[in-house]
Amino acid sequence: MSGTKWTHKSLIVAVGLALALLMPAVSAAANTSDTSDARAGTARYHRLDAARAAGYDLLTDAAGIACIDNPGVGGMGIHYANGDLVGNPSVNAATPEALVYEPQPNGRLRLVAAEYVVLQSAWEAAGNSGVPTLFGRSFELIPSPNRYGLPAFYELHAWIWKHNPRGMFDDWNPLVSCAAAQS
Amino acid sequence: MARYMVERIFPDGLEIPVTDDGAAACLGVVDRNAELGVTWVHSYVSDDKRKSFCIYDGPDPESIRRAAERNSQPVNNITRVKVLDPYFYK
Repeated sequence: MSGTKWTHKSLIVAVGLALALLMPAVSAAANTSDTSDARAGTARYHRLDAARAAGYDLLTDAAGIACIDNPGVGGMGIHYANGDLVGNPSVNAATPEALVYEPQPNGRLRLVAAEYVVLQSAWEAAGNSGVPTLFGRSFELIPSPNRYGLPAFYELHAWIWKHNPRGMFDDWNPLVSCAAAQS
Repeated sequence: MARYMVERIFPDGLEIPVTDDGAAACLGVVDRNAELGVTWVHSYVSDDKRKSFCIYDGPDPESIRRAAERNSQPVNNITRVKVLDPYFYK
């Protein structure tokens, strides 16, 4: 009998846990919708030549390194940035300022993420206060000086084309490697 | 935009060569989908390559079916789905 009561308690706990899990899932639907705009806007850039034709150019850091990684934490990959979009303080899910590609062993580049970038000076000159947001997430401020030799900027990665175990919007993806770029 | 899981059955197996031609074929699918506002996110293919589970974003199931017709792909079932993972995309 006590076993039966325990079973009932377990069931109640299990149902509670299930509801707790499902509630955030429902609220996450809005984020899914936003990231679908990002995917729709960038799907054509699986073709690197299409990205180049649209104004995305190879970005290297101040040391000339193209493939950005953080050993022990994860990689980003190779960034292609659109200068016109970077200089514009607006943020649009479908038109990221940068596209991030992971070098593949066969020499190809695989589109893995979008990066949204706003120069802090442009953001503030446009009369904005606070921090840019997208997908319900706040951008991170990268102060100057930084490894890219850029003025202070806000940025947000969205790993819309490759799963990131650290989360959709983390800067680093442990499943992304620059190893193929160095071989 | 809604997300869908599209189940496809390939009686003779799905064979996409891991070559430039195969890559071009996949990119062609991306282009034709875009004309209908449909985005192929990724797919899971069974070991025997006779069944695939494809994740798509799109405006409605009819657009998914029209995209499949343009790509000469079978459609056996379409289910509207939501994402659930340990991070809920934070």
